[in-house]
Amino acid sequence: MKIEVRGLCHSAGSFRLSDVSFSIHAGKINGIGGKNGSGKSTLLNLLYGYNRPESGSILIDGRDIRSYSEHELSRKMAIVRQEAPEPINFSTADVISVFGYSNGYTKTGLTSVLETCRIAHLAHRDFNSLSGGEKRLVMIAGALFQDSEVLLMDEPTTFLDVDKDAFVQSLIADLKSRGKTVVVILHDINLLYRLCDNVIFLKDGKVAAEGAPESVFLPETLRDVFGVDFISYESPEGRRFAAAGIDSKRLTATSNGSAEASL
Amino acid sequence: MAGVISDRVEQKTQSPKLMMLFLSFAALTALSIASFFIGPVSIPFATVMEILIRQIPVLGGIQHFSIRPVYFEIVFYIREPEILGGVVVGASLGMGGAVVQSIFKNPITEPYVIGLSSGAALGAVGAIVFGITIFGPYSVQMLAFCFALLTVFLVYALSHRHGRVPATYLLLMGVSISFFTSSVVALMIYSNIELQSSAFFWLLGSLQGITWQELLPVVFTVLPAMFIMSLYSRELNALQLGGAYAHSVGIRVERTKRMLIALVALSVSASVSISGLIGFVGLIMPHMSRLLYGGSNRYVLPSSAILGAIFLVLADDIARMAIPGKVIPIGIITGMIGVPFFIYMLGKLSSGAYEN
Repeated sequence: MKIEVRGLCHSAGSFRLSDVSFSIHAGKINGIGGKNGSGKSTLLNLLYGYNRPESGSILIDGRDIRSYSEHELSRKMAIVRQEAPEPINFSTADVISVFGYSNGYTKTGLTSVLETCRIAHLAHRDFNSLSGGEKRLVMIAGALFQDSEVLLMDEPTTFLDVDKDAFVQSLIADLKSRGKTVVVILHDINLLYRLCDNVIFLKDGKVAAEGAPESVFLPETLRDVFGVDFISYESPEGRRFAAAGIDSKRLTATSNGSAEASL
Repeated sequence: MAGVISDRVEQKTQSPKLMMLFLSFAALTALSIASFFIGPVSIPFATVMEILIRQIPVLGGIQHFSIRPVYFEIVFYIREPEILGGVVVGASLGMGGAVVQSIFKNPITEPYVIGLSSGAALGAVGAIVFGITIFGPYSVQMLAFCFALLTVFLVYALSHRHGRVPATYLLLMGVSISFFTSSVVALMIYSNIELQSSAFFWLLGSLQGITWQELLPVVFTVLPAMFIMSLYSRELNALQLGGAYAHSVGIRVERTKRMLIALVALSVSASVSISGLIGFVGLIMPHMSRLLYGGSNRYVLPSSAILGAIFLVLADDIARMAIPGKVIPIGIITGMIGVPFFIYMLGKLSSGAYEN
């Protein structure tokens, strides 16, 4: 499925997205990065049609998003939002079954997403009593249950324990291997670099850079987007980036002196 | 294989719930019939049953016992509309509460928060105090109904923000407008001392003296509205996750909310027009249902209706029995017996669900 964003302008409060254009690559992991307040979440709300853009267009398979019904859109895209909902007295299974609204709810499908997300033991627990990390996995399970072509995720790994963080990353990679398109907002630039096939950097409501990680993780681009200098170094997991000055101590401690000098 | 196991688990958890719904409906029927025997005049069992069976179209012609006219008068014209009124009013308040709590994603709301009760009070007390009779003997009821709907409409219209009606806005606007209309009601009562007792009696709520002429239009408003609402359990479940998630799973959020609020307004306005303001039912019955069935509206909606009906019929029985020869407003009973019972249930059944 192809998503093209063209000349998008939108205001949300005092914040403004202006003339944002980029494309989402089908069957790939597309990452959106940038500082707080650069417009990432505003953009996400426009991408799945929750907010209507003031001008510009979002084309899904060549058709403007405004011409899609809610039902059609839900078959195309599912979301995992940053904040967890607070339904009254819902079990985990109750929460996930909401996501079967447009595709016809089957219990078998519910069991399989519970198992995929390793939360089968939580199925009958009260959702509000779960930990933040468990709730995140439930919401991801819901999005998988919706079984749409594209998954939009807003900071899916933030505030997760190390093991859950790694697990969510593997789930995202798995989605790609199953031919799904993923659009993920990430704070962690190392994760953006390592996980994504296509990266869109936003700065002050505009696209600052777009392309394969190798082509956008350049010293000038990173300095422009984040306002600080970055150093890069080779680690056992591959190339890593750290803000210069702030992380230099940790860097020498962790990378055994293999750090490159400032970019 | 895992799926098959889970299907069995699901079936196991579903059939007791359906059975429980069925049993509570049976309990409501039994309680309603038992309520015919409560009152200052005692009427033989066979007579009551005969009068009831005669009303069933097919069976009506079979029975040919002679019934004493005074019994018929009491059973058919006094007790039956009162009991059915309790069922209809209780059911609409219970289901309306479940719907409103889902729309607002807020467990401490009830149908009255969108301005229904204060609007109805304004209409009814206005009619009583100013002696308005434009709708003949039904002026109090009609004005209560009309003002309740008007107030909800006003609250809704004032809550629009950028093409949406955010739940918090709607809630705050409902509370503000309610305070305003309540002040007007208080002023009307304060300045008409001789009519205070009848106005207060209406405000406290009562099912006594409901006539068939008042009841039937309410039944034909409430039942279709409740039927439609009960078809929206999945949408209401989705709304509990918030507008953004509800949209993403394929729901036309604003349209659905608008329609459901209209249905709650219609059914509850019709109910309070004949009963006055009966509190507690719309707030607590949905929670009682969640404690029994879990949070999914598939069970919470029908259960809130059934429990609301049971509770109100029971409260009305107590209102009739408590002080012989005296009419106690039902609103006093609902609070006095309902609250201790609910606190007991909460401790007994919540199993941690409400502790966060």
